[in-house]
Amino acid sequence: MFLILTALVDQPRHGYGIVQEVARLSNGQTQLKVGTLYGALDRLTGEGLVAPDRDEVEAGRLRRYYRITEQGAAALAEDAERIASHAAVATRRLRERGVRLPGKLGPAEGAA
Amino acid sequence: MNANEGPGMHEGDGASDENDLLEARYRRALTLLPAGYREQRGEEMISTLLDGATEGRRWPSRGELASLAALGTRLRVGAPGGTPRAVATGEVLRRTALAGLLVMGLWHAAMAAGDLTLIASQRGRHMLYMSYSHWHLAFRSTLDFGRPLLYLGALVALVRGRRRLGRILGVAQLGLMAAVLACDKYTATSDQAALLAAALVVAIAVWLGFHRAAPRIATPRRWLLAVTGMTALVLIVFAAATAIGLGGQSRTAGAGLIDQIARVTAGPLIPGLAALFGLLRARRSPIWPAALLTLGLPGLILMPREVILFTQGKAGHLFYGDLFAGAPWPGMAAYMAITDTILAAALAWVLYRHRTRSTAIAA
Repeated sequence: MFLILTALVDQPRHGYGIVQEVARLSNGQTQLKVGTLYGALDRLTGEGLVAPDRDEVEAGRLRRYYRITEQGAAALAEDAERIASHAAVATRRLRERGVRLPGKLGPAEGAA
Repeated sequence: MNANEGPGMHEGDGASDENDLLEARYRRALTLLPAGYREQRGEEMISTLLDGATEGRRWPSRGELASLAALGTRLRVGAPGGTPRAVATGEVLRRTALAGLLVMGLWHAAMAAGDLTLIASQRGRHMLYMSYSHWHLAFRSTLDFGRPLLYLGALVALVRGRRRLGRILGVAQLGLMAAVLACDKYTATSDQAALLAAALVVAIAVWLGFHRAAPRIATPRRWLLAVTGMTALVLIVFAAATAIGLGGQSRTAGAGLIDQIARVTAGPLIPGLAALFGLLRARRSPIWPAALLTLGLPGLILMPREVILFTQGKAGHLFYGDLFAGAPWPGMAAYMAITDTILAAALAWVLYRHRTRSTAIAA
């Protein structure tokens, strides 16, 4: 849900566009299957977090685009804040313990 | 190619025959979904599937088929996007699951309470050790105390919204029940089949009813109060009955008292209460009568044995059998048949009423 909402923040996307963007956002760790994607879209649409944007027909195929709603953006912001807060606590405690943090978390601030 | 474009299978090149074949197979795979949903979403799902298909793909992958099958199942049991009928089916499954876990949990808690009282008493321990070897006793104890914990644990987890844990425990009880029945040499085959069928119904109801898109239980406090209150009552009554029996002259006295309590609870009391509750709820909605009927159907497996007993002139066994002679639920078949008939009639009546008035089904 979090990744699907994130994928729709910058622009409306159709089903396969969402699958691609979610894979990109998760560094390929999350590969949405069609059943999972449409189940999630049904749920998000039902909760008013996502709405159909427009239908386009390309090469004889229907592409339905979805966009995030204001309510969806607010829910995503809330989730992002919660996750960031948990991550900050985890990072601080790991630093206090002297664990070397990988990637962007990098070396401890103010470290010699 | 921007983020909304596929990997290029839709260009109408020489591979169009293969694409057509794949598209036809995807369309066939979509028949796993309910027809109404397919009509509404089918075309865009086909686009998404074809966009994601790698060059040269001729068949849908197993993962795609599994995810479509799972979506189809969820839609049929009330996931968002499903029909009102599917929503009602999901509600029936959830109540079947909760009521089944409660009844089975209490039944096994009663037996565990008796065992605990025996273990706590020196005389009871002596009787147990006479009957079983140490390892067999340990094995039986694990199964006997594990069952109520699984049933009631699953119930509490599901009511509190711990869906994954509840589903795992709710399905695991089926394995434990099979293990118990496999090493129980006293229970009649028909009773074993009925118990196993009931455990299977509960496992299926838990698994299908509490899928990830299922709504949360509307009245968790009421369920938790009911579980706590009833479990406490059952534990006290059965522990006291066993203790009173142990205070008597022989094991038979204790067994006799438990036998009488079991006859009343497993016989007319529980099915009677279920029938009454189903009748009362049928005034509002078909959900509870349908759930209780689903849960009661395995009880009909006991019927053939009862019919055989009746034809042999042992009519007394119909309502009053012998607990320790291969019939742990004396008279259960007759009581279940009566209960199921009442619930089926209530369900038919409430469905007929909804149809004639064209009203929505209330929870």
